[in-house]
Amino acid sequence: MNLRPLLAAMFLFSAVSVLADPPPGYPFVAHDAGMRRARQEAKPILLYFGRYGCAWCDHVNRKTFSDPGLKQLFSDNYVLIYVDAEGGKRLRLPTGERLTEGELGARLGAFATPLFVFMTAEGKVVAKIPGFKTVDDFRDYDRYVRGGHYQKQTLLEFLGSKP
Amino acid sequence: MRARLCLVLAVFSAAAATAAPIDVAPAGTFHHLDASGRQSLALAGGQVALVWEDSRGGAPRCYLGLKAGAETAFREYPLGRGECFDPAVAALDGERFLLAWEDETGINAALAGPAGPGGSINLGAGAHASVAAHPTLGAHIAWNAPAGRWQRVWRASLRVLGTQPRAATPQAADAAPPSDDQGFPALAAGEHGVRLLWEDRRHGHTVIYASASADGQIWSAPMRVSGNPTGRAPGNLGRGTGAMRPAVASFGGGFAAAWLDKRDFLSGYDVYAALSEGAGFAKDGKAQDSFADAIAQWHVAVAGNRRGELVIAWDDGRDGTSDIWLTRLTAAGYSENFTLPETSGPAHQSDPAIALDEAGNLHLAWIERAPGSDSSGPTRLRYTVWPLPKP
Repeated sequence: MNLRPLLAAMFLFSAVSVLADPPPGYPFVAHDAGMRRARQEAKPILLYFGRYGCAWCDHVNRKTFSDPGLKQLFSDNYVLIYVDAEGGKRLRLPTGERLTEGELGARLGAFATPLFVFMTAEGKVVAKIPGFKTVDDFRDYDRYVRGGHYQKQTLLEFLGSKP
Repeated sequence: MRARLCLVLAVFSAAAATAAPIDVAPAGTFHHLDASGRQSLALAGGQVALVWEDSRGGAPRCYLGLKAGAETAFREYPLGRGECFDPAVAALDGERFLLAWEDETGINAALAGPAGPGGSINLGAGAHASVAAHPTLGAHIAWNAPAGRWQRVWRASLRVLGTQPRAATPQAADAAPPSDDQGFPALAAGEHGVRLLWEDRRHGHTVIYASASADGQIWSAPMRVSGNPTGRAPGNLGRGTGAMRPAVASFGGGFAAAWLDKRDFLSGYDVYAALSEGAGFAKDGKAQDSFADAIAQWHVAVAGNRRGELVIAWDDGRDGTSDIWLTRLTAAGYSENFTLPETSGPAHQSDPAIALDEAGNLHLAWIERAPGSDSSGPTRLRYTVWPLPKP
């Protein structure tokens, strides 16, 4: 039996599974395509700032984004954008300004990764949430964003008023 | 804390006032000082050269500003074709500069004298160019460009013929086949050789690597500069913490490298630096003071001069809004951090580019947003000069 294809597949799987990239199976897209799609589909945006080698990004991918219900919820209702917080690729902001992924991180204060930035379909930031978060946390953020509560309350106020 | 810092500044700046800042380019567009290695400002003889990018015509374009020391405005020259990014500049000789930028044609290089830039040469596809020159070690350019699956750092020596450079065949900064991305090169040249630093992801996270040349022709094998730990470590660091955006400058008889480093990962990037030791770099350490530890730093730049003065600059928001912070290398190590009145206060000051002349004057350019404006608000591009007081 020729094991080379199997070993190659195992190597590829292990290489992919340890990268602090977007969680597998989610329809994450690049920044510019995601911003366009959000406007076209009038959907809110979840922008995921990851970092190459980031342990907590890997942790949240495995522990939280592996939940099938969460995957369904965010895949159906958000435009998902992944940005490498140290990356050098150039992005185009809704204002027309062009800057690198790393510079967008500096603008948005991406001091820790993962950083989850919720935006309106027009690209207006409504919440910035750093660090590891649970499935329940993300369900709360979804209610805050899609329920429009960000127009009246900060995220902390919303979470504090939760019954 | 502000009172303590003001005291530090007062001690440092006794009998040293900044020149009135100059607005370099029309306000209200998206000004960027984003040269790789933060090489946006250079001095040659009595000339000051500043390169930047802004979007005044609706798309990003590159510009060169030139002024003699006593002039109160920059003469402006457009660079590149189409959308243009990350222009970089270095002194070439007593009155000329070496320029590089990225535009729709790829990486380009040119010379500029007091009358403006000459014809450019194209080095093919790439991004994030850096340049350096020395009278006996020659002129050099580095950039990153795709090589199969990965981005790879390339370097080439430049021969100056009349008003235009000529590039030798590009060489990879690391002769070994790449195993992951490299990028954001930074070059410096001085009497003890040429140094090239870059970001490198070969260990599964971003670290700083360097290569050295004593004669401008033969380059060392890559060596790791940043000490941010690789591999699993206490605190669940995963494959390792990040280090990014290296800058390097010659000063006195050596070199200084500085970069953003996330080994203390709870409070964002910190400013780390290392001084050259032989052909390599000595152990690195924090260049910021402890008042900066709880907050993220961004956009680190470094400048030195032949008489051995060294300044590191960056921006952080420790006083509530982003200000330009500085430290000087002294006999006792890096000084307490300080600001200048023109580059601090309620406005948002960021993205410093610095150069030190041989008289000990710090030339400083930065981006400024009005107090209260958001991160996409209109910007100003500003420049000033500050005579370094005796430490």
